[in-house]
Amino acid sequence: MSSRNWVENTVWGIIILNFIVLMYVFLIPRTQFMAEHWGNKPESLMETSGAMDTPNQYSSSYKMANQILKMVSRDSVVVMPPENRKIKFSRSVLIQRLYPRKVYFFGDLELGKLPSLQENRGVYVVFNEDWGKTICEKSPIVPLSNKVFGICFLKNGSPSSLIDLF
Amino acid sequence: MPSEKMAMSFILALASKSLILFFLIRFGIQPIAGIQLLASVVVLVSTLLIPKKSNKEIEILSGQKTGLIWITLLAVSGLFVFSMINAWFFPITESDAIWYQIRGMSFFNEVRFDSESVVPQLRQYPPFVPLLFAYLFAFDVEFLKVFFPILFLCLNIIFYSRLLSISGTQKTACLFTMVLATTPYFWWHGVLPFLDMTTAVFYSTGTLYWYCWVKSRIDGSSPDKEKSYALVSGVLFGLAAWTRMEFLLYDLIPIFLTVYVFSRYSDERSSRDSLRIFFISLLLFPSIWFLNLLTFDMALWSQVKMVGGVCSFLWILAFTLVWGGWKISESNVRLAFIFAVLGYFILLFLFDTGPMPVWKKLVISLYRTSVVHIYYLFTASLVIFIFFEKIKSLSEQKKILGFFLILFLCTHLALFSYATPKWPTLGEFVYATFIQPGNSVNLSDTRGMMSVYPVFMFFISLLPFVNRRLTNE
Repeated sequence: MSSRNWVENTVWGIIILNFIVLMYVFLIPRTQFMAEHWGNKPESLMETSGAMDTPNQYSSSYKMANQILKMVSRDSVVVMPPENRKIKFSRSVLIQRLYPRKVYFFGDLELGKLPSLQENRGVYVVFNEDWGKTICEKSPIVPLSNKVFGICFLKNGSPSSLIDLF
Repeated sequence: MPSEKMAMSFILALASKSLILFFLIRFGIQPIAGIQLLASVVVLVSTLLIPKKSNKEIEILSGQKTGLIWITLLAVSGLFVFSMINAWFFPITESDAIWYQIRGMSFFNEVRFDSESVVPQLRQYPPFVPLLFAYLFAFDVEFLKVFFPILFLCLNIIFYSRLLSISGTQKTACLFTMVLATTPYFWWHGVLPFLDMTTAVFYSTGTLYWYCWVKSRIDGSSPDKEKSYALVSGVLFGLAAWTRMEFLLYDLIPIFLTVYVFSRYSDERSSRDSLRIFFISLLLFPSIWFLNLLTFDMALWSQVKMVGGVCSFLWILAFTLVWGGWKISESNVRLAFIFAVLGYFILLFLFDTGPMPVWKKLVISLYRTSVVHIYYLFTASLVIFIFFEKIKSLSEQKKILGFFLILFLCTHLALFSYATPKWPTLGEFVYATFIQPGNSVNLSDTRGMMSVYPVFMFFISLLPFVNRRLTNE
């Protein structure tokens, strides 16, 4: 050990400095996060702000998706409002959580494709201030956790019947 | 080494698993657990038919058991265990990874590759990681990130084993393996379910085996050895492109250098058997995916078409070189390189249709290629050792490996000057690098660099200057 030269010292220095960064940026914050949320189910972890190195950008979308998930059956169709600058949600999160339920986003609804789904399915509509309120006015509505959105159950029917709604 | 064999077995098992799943889905068979188990049994039984070779093997702990090997084992295994805990604890909430999970679910449930649930661009991405997720869905396993820490471990084991095998010095192998394992960017990606750790493992280990092949060829080792290295490196390079499509473009680097080596060291001894094995194993995986894309009922993305064109070109090159009997001369290879560079610039200016001028894209790409190394922190500073080395007196194979690194940086620069930059001005990139690094630490170009860092560390560790100093000769 006494004969260590500057090359070996440099390599050791790199290892130690790397390890210090690893500890302070990743290992310690992640350990703290895990300790604080130990025992939580994955669904509730998705709704947290995430670890320091990978902040969860979609916690509000996860809250909404998890709430919808509890209400709708596996074979339902969920129609989401169009995205706009004011109100944002992550479409990937909604598809991820609600799969295999069919999720349609109003802005890119390809109505021509809907009749290919012939079976009777529960049709749910998620609405917000700008869109969908009139569709849900005759149905019981449930406000979603973030207060910006609500959801209503329209009817059991073929998704093709959505064409009449929009 | 048995540990290296285990790491390679894991990687090759994933590769064969993904291939089986791909064909099951392609033929409309849902890959339920029972079918997968049956397929696994068939694959395992068929491996018994592979003839055994009695090689003298070195165990990872053989020879002198210095304290250093125990420190290395402790560091690597500690980081691996912690990454496993993280992978088990954190569900998938990262942007791109969510789409890979959706793709995996659609592969398994809808038994198709072009589900409408997935955005069109992502449907065209190679299927490796989503196929692995589909495998777990079949067994109702929700612990989807499990593969990534194991791949991190495999990378460290293979890196250590190759380095020990080439340098013959346990101290060098231990120290540089610890540099790799503790590089925060690598550990971080060992718990992130993106494509980058996977491609980094495939591409960098592929390069290490490719280096062994080049070394064998230059040293005049046995043809069987050459074929083995050609096969393993080819499969690994192919798997990188089976995970991230643009890696077929990075694969052009080892292909070009292989042709160069064959032009300098061509003999009738081993003919071109190893070259044939290399091309077939490399092109197999990406070709399957491109053929599959042709069956999609959708317009293909222009970049996908371009990489598909490169794949076709490589098949033509392989046929001409290996079966067409085309004599490769060194001057031809140099000429081809000059034409490739010229061709790239012509294409770049011909397709200059975006809102940003080409020169600006080039400047941004040059900036990014130069500064992304700060995210590799202290590991990047290993470069200082190069300035103490007599580059001219390096052996032929080490010069080729050094040239590989330079070509990787050039290819990286070329690829990202072709792509549309995330931000329109260089100022925004500078801001995102130094003021808000969180915005650029995870950009595609930073992540792509992961695939060359193990090779860079390997190269530095093989420098005679470094080795002499580490062994106190």
